[in-house]
Amino acid sequence: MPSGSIQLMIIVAYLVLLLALGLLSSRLFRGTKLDFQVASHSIGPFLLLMSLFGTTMTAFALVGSTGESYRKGIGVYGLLASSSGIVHSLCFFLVGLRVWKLARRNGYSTQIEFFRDRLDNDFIGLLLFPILVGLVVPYLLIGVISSGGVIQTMTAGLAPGWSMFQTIGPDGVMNPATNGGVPAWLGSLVICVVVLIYVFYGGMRGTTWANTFQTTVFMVLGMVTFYVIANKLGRQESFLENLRVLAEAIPESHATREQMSKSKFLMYLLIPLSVGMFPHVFQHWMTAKNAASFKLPVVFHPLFIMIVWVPCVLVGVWTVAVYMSPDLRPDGPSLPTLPSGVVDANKVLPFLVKTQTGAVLGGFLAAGILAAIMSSLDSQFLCLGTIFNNDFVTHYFGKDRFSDQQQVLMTRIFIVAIVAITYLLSLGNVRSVFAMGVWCFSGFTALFPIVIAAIYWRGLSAAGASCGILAAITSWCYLFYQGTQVPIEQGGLSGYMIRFSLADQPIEIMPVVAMTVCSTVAMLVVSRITPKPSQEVLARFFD
Amino acid sequence: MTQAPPTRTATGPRIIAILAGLLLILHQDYWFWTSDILVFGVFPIGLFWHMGISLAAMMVWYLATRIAWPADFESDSVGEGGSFSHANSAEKTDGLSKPGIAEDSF
Repeated sequence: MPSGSIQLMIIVAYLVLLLALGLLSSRLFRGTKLDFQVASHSIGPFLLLMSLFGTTMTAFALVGSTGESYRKGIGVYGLLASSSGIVHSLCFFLVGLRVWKLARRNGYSTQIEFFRDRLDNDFIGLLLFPILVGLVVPYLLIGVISSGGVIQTMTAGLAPGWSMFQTIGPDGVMNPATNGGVPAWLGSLVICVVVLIYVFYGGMRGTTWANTFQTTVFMVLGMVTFYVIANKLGRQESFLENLRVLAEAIPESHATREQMSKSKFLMYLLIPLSVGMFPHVFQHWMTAKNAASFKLPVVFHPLFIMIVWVPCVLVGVWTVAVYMSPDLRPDGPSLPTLPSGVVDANKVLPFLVKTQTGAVLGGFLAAGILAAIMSSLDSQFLCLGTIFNNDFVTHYFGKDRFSDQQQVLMTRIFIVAIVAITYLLSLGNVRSVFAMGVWCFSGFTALFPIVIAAIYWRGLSAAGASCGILAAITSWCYLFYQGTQVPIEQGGLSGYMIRFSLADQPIEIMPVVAMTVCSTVAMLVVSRITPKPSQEVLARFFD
Repeated sequence: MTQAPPTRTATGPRIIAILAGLLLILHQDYWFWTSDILVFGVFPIGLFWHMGISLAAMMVWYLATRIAWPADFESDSVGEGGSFSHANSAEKTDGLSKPGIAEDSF
């Protein structure tokens, strides 16, 4: 049997199982729009914990964290995981809980409905709609790219004779790490189609159940992966001995944070604030049955992040260690590379799973990685459809203009169109999933002051919020363009910093800081000088 | 979570704000920046410290649910389906409701 065929069969079986789960959950579907969008606000604490965690832990967390720790070392955990443990729960507590109550009281399913009603202004919806959709696209892109890369790496050797399955390295010879595997474009396409089908059938209820199932799968299989890879790479008798051998082999550059800037480490604290403005997380908050359902996610989110991220970060730095050490270097192919010859960090994790585990276990572990990816894609697909339906079709054409069936059809066409655009973008050469994720999160972080002000500040005006949003997105576009001008050798998009001198001292600022300052200042200044919503409106939001 | 009734106090939110601030300060562990000590021979100290931050965050947020949970949320007064009193209410109660289907309440 050709190499990669068992892995492919297991991946296909997993996808079929997922489709079955989606179809099964559709039998629980109550047939209402409310059930399709927010599961009739019936989700209890455990499902809320699992679905929120599964939604926030993306390819960025598994594939991206392993790849980035391979490049930068153990500091990646502090950079985003431990900070997210503090900040995500803070957002659930300060934003999620309040928004949930307001949404239940006033009947919202999307962020745009909330902002439009809170500010008593229609333009805010028109402004937010393309921005939220536009910022979700790079987030989708992360999942789509990673899924194709995982499937290609895991099925390498399946059909090396087929020209479509061949991958050529920078030196003109076949790249053994990926050659013969299902092409990344095909793998990404299949994953998109599978997720679309179970989202279309099951709606939010199906998505929540699928998320819970997939979160369990990737957490359990993630620990198994860690155990198996440690034992294989360490080559010692016991698991603990393997951990010690591998830890001692980590080069100092990766066992410390000498490659990282301290000020950048501080500024990265802003990135997890993005969760407070993710439209798909907002929609999951709306599914909660009651306020008490939030307690479990608030408490256990930091622990779950640790359970997923620590193994990924360790595997990333071990990879550096073993491929640098003549004694520990594994037999078999070298790490996969990009056409430029640089190691493809996005494929480090699937490559290790493929080369360091048996075919059957490797297939299951690949399914686990795909589970993490799909558990975010589904919520994002559903959220895009909900925004389109509620904030565009229903809002501007009226709820009676189109039948339920017509609305569902238009929503599905919109989702497919966005997924198609994302898919086409994924065919380009995206070097770092991590960098793409950080830019996407930076945009959402820049919008975070608007939601905080909307909840806690009576003085926020519609013009102030609009200017804040415009300042956020304008600065994002400008800085992203500047980032694309940075040569790959100097870090590319992920290496871009705003640099200037103050009193002859060189200062470096991350783009997210500048964007957040821009949006906050614009919001505060304009709100001070423009009319606020009426007292009648404010009374609905401030007890 | 099954637990005794919370004991929210006036100082509860302040305690949580101080603890969260402390976590953010401890997160900036410049003192371990270039240390290559291995804890238990397994974890680089820079990683181990931040695992501790994650666990401490869990404890702080647990405490938040005990002493700082908003009092007006305890009653959970908004019932199933919500009291959709506003603009979006009508469209959300339309539909083909199938009575008798259990909620996903766990």
